[in-house]
Amino acid sequence: MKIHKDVLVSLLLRAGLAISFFYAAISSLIYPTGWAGYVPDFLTKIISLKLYLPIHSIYDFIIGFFLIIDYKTFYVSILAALTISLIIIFNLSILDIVFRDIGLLLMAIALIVLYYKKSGSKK
Amino acid sequence: MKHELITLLIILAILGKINTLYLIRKRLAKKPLVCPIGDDCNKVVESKYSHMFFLKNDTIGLIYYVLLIISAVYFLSVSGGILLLMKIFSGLALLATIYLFYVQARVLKEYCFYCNLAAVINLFIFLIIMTLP
Repeated sequence: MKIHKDVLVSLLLRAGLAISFFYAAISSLIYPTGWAGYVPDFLTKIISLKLYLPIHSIYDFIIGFFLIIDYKTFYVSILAALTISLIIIFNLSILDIVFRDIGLLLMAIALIVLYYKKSGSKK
Repeated sequence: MKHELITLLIILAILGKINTLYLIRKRLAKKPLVCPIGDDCNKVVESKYSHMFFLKNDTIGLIYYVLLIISAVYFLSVSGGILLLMKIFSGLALLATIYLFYVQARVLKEYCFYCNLAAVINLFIFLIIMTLP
């Protein structure tokens, strides 16, 4: 059985990240009260939660969608890594919950490396 | 628990939809599929088993996933009778999936990564729908 390791590894990393982004996007649309606690205080002073959560959902959904369809993966992975880093930084007080995001962050970084090296330049 | 299960259901339906859209796009563009694992995906998707009721399997899949997303959102807001329909259709989809897997394993003796990905998605969709309260 032939295995295209590059294609498979990329697909697994992209699907794993995309599912996490999709989950956050859809769940916070369906059940916003469960997600309100993760929004940093300074943001709620600038923008209301009712407005922020749907915007963040759409943003998460777009990242997940671009990752799964392999569109501009190099740049989308950078965006994903930055987003996850911010989530970890602003939720350090609940590290028992967000420690899994460190794994996701490393997955995003793995994708950045994979897509940077693929053609010897950015893809 | 209900909203978590519906979230998972919608995610699986979206993944299934993207998978079928990829197959449809490649078919319409007449481009060969790149199979990450396995033998020749193209032999499977171009075989005589690639359609049912005058429709290509990928098109049937797309319709199924779109209807599933609509039903899931409807179920979330209204609940009730739609669940029975979801159970029936996910059961039928699982039966078709088992049949198509049998065709790959025993008749064609070739496996298609994207078809089996859809099979796994359909199995999980069925299990989630069966556990919905």
